[in-house]
Amino acid sequence: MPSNSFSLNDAEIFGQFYNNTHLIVFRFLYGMAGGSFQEIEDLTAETFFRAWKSRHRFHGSAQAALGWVLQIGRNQLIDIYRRKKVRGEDLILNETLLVHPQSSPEEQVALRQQIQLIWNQLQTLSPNQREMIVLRYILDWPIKQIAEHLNMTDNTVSVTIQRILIRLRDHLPE
Amino acid sequence: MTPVNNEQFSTEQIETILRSVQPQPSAHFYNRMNTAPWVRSSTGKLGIFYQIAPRFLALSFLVILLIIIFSLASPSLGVVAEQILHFFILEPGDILEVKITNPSPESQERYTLSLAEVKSLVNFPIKSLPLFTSAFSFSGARYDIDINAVTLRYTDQSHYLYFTQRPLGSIEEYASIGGSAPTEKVSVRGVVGEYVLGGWIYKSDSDDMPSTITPGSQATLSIFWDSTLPQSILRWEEDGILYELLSRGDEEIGKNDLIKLAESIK
Repeated sequence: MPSNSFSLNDAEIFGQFYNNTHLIVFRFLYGMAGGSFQEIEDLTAETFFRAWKSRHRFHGSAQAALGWVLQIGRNQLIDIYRRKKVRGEDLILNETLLVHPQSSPEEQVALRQQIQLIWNQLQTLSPNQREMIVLRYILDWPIKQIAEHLNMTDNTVSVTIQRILIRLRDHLPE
Repeated sequence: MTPVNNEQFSTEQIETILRSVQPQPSAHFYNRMNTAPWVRSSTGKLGIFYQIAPRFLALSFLVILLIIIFSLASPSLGVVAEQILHFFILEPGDILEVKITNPSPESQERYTLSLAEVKSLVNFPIKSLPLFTSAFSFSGARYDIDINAVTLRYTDQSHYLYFTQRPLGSIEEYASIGGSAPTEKVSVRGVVGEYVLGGWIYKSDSDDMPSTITPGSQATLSIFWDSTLPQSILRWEEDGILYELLSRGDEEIGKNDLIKLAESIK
């Protein structure tokens, strides 16, 4: 067992882990799924509830614990993707994200439109591609951390993200 | 952040826009997670009851006692009680007004007696969970002289178990539960008992509790029956003694598991 391993069995430690990671998990799920805040909050809560129930099965480092929880959330999202695809629903960016008090109303409207354009393009990516983008930009993970999490080389992650960005750029309406 | 002026985005601009997406959960989410199982466990393993201020926790047993007394004062309930021995009596609704007297701080630590000590205080035989054959360990006992009842407390990793026993005739033999609470007749130790899931809770965000209560002062509380509360109660009568097994924890102990615990009592 690695020397930096820790256990999530203890409620207090799990609580600290939740405090440190819930925002990351929430943003990850939001970036991956879009949709309503209520839905993402429910997914985030359910992700941690499932992790709590399975905590005895986890062994690893703190970083691995975060990856483990993200994987639990990701597994839940697979069903969401399928349902939304079947229902043909659009993933609408929540407008509350786009409130920037320092911007003028006109700037906010323009920014909202730009983010929605990019958000719509994100829906066309595969879950794996989307995950890379979410980890890199919404969670601000360094390439090395993403590579470890996805079990890829740094170079593969870096190149793939660049290709995705170019694809997004080329498919955005002028 | 200001919008990108160019009609055609660059990859750098796309990166900037993506980085600006930083959603925050709502207050509703945080309120919900305040009752997550790890919070309840780390604050003392008593589920939602541990979310309540300690002084209110100290009042909980008193509230239950007063509910019983309150029920006795109700003629309609008295008639029902005379008809048949019911272990639980349904209230008309799921909200109950109870008057409580705030106990003094020194009375708040209640499970301080050993098994031997509590046995020496009563003149009826005390049963207990067998040691070493259950996941639960004994964590204290109390004796309530007003109702001649002994309560033994046990704990495991995520539950508290309260085993109360008192001779029939000490007080009317039923306990008040919410109007919507489904009770179930069960077979336990060769007799018919009753099982119910849920419990009365005092919601700390309601405004009927004064912010400060001095010891001995009175207050009227609205308490609510919560069927989702992870609390399960089993009551039965055996050889003239009324027994109640009540579990509280992260998740309710299932009916069959509670009956198994009851069967193991000696």
